[in-house]
Amino acid sequence: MQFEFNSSEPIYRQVAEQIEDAIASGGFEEGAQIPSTTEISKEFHINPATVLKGMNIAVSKQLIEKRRGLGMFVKQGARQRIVEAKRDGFFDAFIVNLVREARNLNISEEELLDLVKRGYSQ
Amino acid sequence: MKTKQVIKYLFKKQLPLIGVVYLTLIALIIILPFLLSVISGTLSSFSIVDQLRGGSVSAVFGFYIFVISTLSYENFKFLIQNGVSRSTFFEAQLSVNGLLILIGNTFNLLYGYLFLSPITDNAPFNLFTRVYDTYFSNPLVNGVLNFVMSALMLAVGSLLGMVIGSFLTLFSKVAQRLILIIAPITGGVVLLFIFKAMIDYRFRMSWVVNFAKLVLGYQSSGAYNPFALIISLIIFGAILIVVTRFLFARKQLKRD
Amino acid sequence: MSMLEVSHVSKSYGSKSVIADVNLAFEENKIYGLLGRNGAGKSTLLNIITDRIFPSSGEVKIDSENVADNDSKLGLMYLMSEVDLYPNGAKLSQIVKDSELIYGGFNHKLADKMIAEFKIDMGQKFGKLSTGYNSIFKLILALCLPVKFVILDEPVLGLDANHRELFYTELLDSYADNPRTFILSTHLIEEVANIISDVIILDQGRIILNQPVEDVLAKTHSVVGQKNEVEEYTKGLNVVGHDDMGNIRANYVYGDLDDRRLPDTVQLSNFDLQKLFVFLTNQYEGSKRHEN
Repeated sequence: MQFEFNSSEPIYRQVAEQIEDAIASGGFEEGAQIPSTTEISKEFHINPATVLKGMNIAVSKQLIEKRRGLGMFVKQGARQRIVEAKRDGFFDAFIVNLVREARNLNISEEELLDLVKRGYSQ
Repeated sequence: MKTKQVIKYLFKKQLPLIGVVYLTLIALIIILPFLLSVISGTLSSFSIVDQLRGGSVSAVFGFYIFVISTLSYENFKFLIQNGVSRSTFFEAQLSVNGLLILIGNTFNLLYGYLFLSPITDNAPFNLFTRVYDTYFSNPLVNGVLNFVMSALMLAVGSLLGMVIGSFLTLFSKVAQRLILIIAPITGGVVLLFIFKAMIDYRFRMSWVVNFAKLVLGYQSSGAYNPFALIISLIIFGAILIVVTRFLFARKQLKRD
Repeated sequence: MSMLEVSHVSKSYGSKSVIADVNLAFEENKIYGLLGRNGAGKSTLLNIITDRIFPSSGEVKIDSENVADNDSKLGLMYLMSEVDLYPNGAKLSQIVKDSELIYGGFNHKLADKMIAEFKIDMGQKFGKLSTGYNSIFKLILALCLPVKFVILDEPVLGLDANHRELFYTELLDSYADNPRTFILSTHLIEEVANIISDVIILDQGRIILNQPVEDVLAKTHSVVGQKNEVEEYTKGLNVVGHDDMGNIRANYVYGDLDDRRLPDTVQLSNFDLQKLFVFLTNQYEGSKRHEN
């Protein structure tokens, strides 16, 4: 697990994002156990309540689940849910900015589509 | 209340010092004079009995209990670090000093009655045996009264030490040193004045002398009355306890 | 259940006021950061809380009971301070024994683990310890004694980077094992920023901030863009500091933003506790010194 934190975004949200990224990238496999709140807290020197808050976000997104007495596990279908959620957000997160930047650089719609095709062909 | 634990801590810390004191005592009243007489070539006139007769075990123990009683700030620091209140510290210190006095006093009297008296032809070895022990003729009663009086004297010495020690810790280190220099000088001047006045006949009749006589149980003929001194010591001790309690409650960490 | 309250505590030496009407409540099982510049009054406040010195006015209570001269309440706290209150001639192992006797307990398992990790020789005399090992020894006591309030005044003084890491790990491990209230007093904010749940900032003897870290960070906003646009946007907001770079201006706002429209050319983000601390305690000297 490779967590990196920056100091300008709330830590609990970063914890949730890092868990999500690890699941999306396959770092945490579906059905596998993920590190406990205490382990993450100790390893990265984060208040356990903050870690727990981040975990709870992942729980509410149906990405991980608590198994009583055992710990936190990645839910079946978590990866699929992340992909879907990211797809939903793809337009706002990437396309809007892409088009804005293209306009600033006087790149036409056709030219942009060509560039996208070139990207896919690589 | 953590009185029991604190008593245990203080007692364990201060008890070994008694051993050191008695060893020092032996060194001072036997070994040192012996070595001196060897060096000066007067070994033939050296007498252990004379040395023992001359050295006062009670006085040395009294000095010890006085000194350790003044050193309360060290213990205060450790105890406040460990969450012990000032009143618990006070009660525990009082109990420990009481215990030490009991031990030291028992040793002193056993040494006096069982060892020193037989080898010195019953020469007096403390204040009681000097001026009070013909008031009663029963040796057992005398022994008990001697024990009580000596213990009370040590207690007053210890309480005086506690008062002086905790009074000094109210001040900064610089002020403490000033007091330690100025107080003995002032005290010396006052004593000098009193001694001078005592030579004067009119002073001899004054209330100060009468008061001293009352406290000591002075009687123009025969032995003094031991109860006068015992009661005086109890009253004085009680006053000192109140003062010590007051001073202990004002202890705090110093800023240096 | 255990709540430590400081109410209306003031302390002055002569005419110099060191602590001015401080009110605080430390709740159970939280990790507090007591931040302040050197001389802000942190140590004085902690000394008053643990009844080492007397306040000029006000009182400190645990569960509504005054702690002054109260064994059962004082025994719930351990203050690890810069000042050494242990006898210099005592062996470390003896100090542990005596402390255990008086506090009525000691976590030997954790102590043994920390002794091995930090490689500290318990046969040494307290007075012979280096600054770093002096801190380490006192930290071991702080974490292993059975108290409800662990108060650490400049805990990592003299510790090298590895030992600091180790200490924060042990602190959080011990906290997870046995949740209790921690108060970390320090001027090294970055190191504790993610560890603490609540932040208290003391400046010149006064509390100028006392809130959960999350709420505090949510109220920090850095507004970056063209100078005139930034100034226009932040008009009327609580601007606590700023940076200039050519015509680019960064205004640092502490507080809630209203519904005002953000121009496309102005960027909005949060900034961290360290920066906020510097701004609030009037140490602002531009960005150069604080960029890490």
